Amino acid sequence: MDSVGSRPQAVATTATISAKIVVAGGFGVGKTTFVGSVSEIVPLTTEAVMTEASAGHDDLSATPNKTTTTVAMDFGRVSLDSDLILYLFGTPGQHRFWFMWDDLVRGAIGAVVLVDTRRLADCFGAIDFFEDRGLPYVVGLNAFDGMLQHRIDDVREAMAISPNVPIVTCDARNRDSTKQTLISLVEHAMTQRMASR
Amino acid sequence: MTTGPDDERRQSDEPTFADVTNGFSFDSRQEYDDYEEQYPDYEAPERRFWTRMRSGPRPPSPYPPHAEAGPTWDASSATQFHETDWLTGHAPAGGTVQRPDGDSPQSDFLSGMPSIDAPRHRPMRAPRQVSDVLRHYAGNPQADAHDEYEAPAPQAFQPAGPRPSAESQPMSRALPDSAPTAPIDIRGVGEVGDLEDVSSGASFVRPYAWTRGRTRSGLDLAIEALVSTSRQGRSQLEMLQMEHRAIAELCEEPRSVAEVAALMSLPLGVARVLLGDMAGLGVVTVHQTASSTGSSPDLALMERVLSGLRRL
Repeated sequence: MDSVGSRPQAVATTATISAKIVVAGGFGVGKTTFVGSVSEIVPLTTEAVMTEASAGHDDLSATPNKTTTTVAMDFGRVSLDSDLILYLFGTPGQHRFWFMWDDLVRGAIGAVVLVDTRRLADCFGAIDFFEDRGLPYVVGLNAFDGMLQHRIDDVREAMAISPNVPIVTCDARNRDSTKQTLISLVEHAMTQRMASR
Repeated sequence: MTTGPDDERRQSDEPTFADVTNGFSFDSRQEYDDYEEQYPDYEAPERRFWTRMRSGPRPPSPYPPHAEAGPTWDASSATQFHETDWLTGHAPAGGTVQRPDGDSPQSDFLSGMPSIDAPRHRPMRAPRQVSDVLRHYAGNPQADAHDEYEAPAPQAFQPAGPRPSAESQPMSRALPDSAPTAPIDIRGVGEVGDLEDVSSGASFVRPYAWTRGRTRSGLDLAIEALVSTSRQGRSQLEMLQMEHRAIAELCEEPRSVAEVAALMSLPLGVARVLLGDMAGLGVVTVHQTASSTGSSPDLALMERVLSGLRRL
């Protein structure tokens, strides 16, 4: 029971390496869509039809057409090389699953925080969490309906995030846009790693 | 409903940590229900069966403890486990969940997680199940002559009482339309395909039975850690216990712990324990993760990820 924390003894020396990136953000911001747009498998999701049970917990005012929500995590897989697989883990959107976040961020390259500028405050929890853990993150402004309603500088000021954290615009539905967001995250993580040396 | 120390802080329909880790599953009862509809005579093992039978004389276990055909089922420990206190004791009274449409049997992702619908949902199912089982033990074919199903009191042990006829009482009618079944549709959308047979196994056995009560794995497995069946595991495939064999067949190509959990319809913690066992037996090999060498991925690996992303 108390052997948790020991390193695996049966680790293979050859074969495939896996890495992961966490996709976080507020409720209904498009995390599952983001993962799905780049994943080579249909994301294994645990979506639930939203019910009256979520009334009072989940704010639907800005996304009235949302009918499902991710209950726990969902994830997608991207094979980057013959022996390198990248997993994208979407965080649970609802606060009652926050205990899973520790598991999700452990060993992650970094995190993409998706933001809907109409509901900026939704992502504050995620940003606090990643800053607390020292996990590199980029902010992706998900452009709903293809347009941004606020200037990036205004968003940065409103979110009070430091100037060296990249803020990129993206369209979670678009594979290339998702790819670019992930690239800027890995670049940022590498920069941060080299700077900390 | 008993109250726990943290009840004030919880929302009424909020699952506890224990609920989620022990009861959360990508699984739904859908396959289980489909199976029952397809084979009306099938006498499904009701999950709460042992607890309910405590009030009356208990028939011998229909499931041999080490049935070859079924998942490993430790009947003795399951009997001793007082599920009612442990699980439904936490269950809040709230959760006024309506079914969006009355006809289709909703898959019940939360059936292992008693927080929303368990207290009101279970008693409606149980009488039918108990009676079915009793008919089985009575060995009385006349019992099938009863066509109408009058719901007996859930706690009553009624060997001579009215018994449902499976032929005339399909699954959907046994559940009143007003049954507060959680309208939750868990879709393990993916390349599940022929794995459906495998995943349905999880419905029958409680998560703690899969792991014999363990909640932690001997190995510290990251959720993205890849596992693949070793050569040794492949050669021993016939000899493995059922759930290990299913996982070994799944892991012919490297799959992450999260994928195993999702495709096997197992809670993440259960998948970890099983995979930890299998790694200990040498049946599966655990591959390196980005963080195996340290607390966070090294630069060389990030470089590889970066160039891989650019090539996409």
